[in-house]
Amino acid sequence: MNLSEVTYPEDTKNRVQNLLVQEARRKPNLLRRPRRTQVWLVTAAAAAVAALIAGDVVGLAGWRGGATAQAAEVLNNAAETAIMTADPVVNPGQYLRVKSTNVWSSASTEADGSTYEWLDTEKLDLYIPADRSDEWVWLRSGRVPTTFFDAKSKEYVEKNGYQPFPELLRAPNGSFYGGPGGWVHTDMSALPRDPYRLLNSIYKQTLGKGQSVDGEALVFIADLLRTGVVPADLRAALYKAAAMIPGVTITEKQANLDGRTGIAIGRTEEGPSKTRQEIIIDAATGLLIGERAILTEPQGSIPAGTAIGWTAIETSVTNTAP
Amino acid sequence: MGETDEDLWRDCITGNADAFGALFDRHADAVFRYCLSRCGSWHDAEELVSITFLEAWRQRDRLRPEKDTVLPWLLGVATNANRNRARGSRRHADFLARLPHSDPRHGQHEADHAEAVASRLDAERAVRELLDTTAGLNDGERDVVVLCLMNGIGQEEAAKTLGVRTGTVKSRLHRARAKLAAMNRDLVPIEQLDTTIVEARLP
Repeated sequence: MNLSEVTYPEDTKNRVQNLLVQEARRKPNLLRRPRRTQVWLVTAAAAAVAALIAGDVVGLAGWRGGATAQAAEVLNNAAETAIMTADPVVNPGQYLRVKSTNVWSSASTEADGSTYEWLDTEKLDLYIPADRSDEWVWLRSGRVPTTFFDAKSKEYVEKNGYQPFPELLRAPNGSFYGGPGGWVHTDMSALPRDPYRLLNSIYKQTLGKGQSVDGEALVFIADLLRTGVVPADLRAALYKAAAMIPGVTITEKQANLDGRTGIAIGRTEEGPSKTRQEIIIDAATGLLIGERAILTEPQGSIPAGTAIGWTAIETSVTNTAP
Repeated sequence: MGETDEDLWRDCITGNADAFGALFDRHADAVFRYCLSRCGSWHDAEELVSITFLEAWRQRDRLRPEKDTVLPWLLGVATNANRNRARGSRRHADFLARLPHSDPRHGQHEADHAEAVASRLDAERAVRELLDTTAGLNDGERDVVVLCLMNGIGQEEAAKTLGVRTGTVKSRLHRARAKLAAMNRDLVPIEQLDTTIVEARLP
């Protein structure tokens, strides 16, 4: 056994590389945007927040405008629905089941500089016990390459044998992969339920990340909603907070996500990540269908307008887990 | 030959994710070996590599492109990531949840599988034994032993990784060798403790 012969396992390496590239695309650093005025705006915003925030009472929320009237209406209706529809009760011995279909984008670059892009689909099925310190069960289909935009990438994926790794995981307290547990790593009990203060607290946490102050606040909201475990009062506050974000608008009236149709609400901007974050709400019921990120400019073989990442979720209560 | 680290790093700073992917591909093995030799656990080392590169992307304005390799700087990021492991895993929990760990059971025949498991256990045991021998050193001395002796990193590069002067690395190494020799007089003859000897001691 010689340490210098140890290598990073090939399968992990491929996956980590894909995930990192994807992550890097999602999170270009705000401060490095080339236009000086934007850097100044961010600095000014950061200074304003640092100087003004006492608790979450004074901050960026509110005084710079908000969502368009139509988008605000959809979001505020969804907030009303969230409050009126009580969360499903999970009795002792039962599980909250969060079923989701997820699409992630993958990319690979070979030594000769040639690049390949495709989309993977992963089905997740999570069973959260009534007592959260009990054993959680998580079924993962693994990432199945599902969508190609050119023949060359399809061939590449077939040749390199990107096979899904299905997993059945069990962990008390949701500590999968030896992680810290709890599944959602935002302390939801600490977030204000007053939409104005909630939005300020989100700005405080996201400032300096993502492609713009307001864009990243919407990403934060979508990331939290897609966990499927946000309690009703916080869900309502998140919708109302989204309605207060400048530039938020209805981006598609008939958006299809995993076979369900809803209204897409997002924020169009010319950020360096070239994606637009959206949340999709069922207009009839006000319930959340999911979230997605749309590419606003072509990226390699992937055309503009493609959803390069999305999650559709469904929650229910069950008596048994696999 | 492809692009130099300097070219790729310049692209990273402008937000080019593919350049970052290429740098990962180039340095992942060396970073993994270093992480393994830091934490002694294969599983944790795999995770630490991801955290290191995520942090590298987040902090990429801190390193100006230079002619040299970016590896010493990456190892510095890994050093900090290892020290702040609990905090780092929380910050990157969403990412880590999406990261299936490599499993030697996948896509291999039984015999290969057994061999892969055995070689992982060997590597972990070897690293832990080596780390045990450094128990009497202080943190600074252990840093240079892990970098220079276990990973074969040059003294100047190690200085960059640790953010100290080359002279400091030299004197720490000198002290560490003396201590190791005194502690394990029969195991590690003072004049022989160099990379090859340390590697030769691995089972």
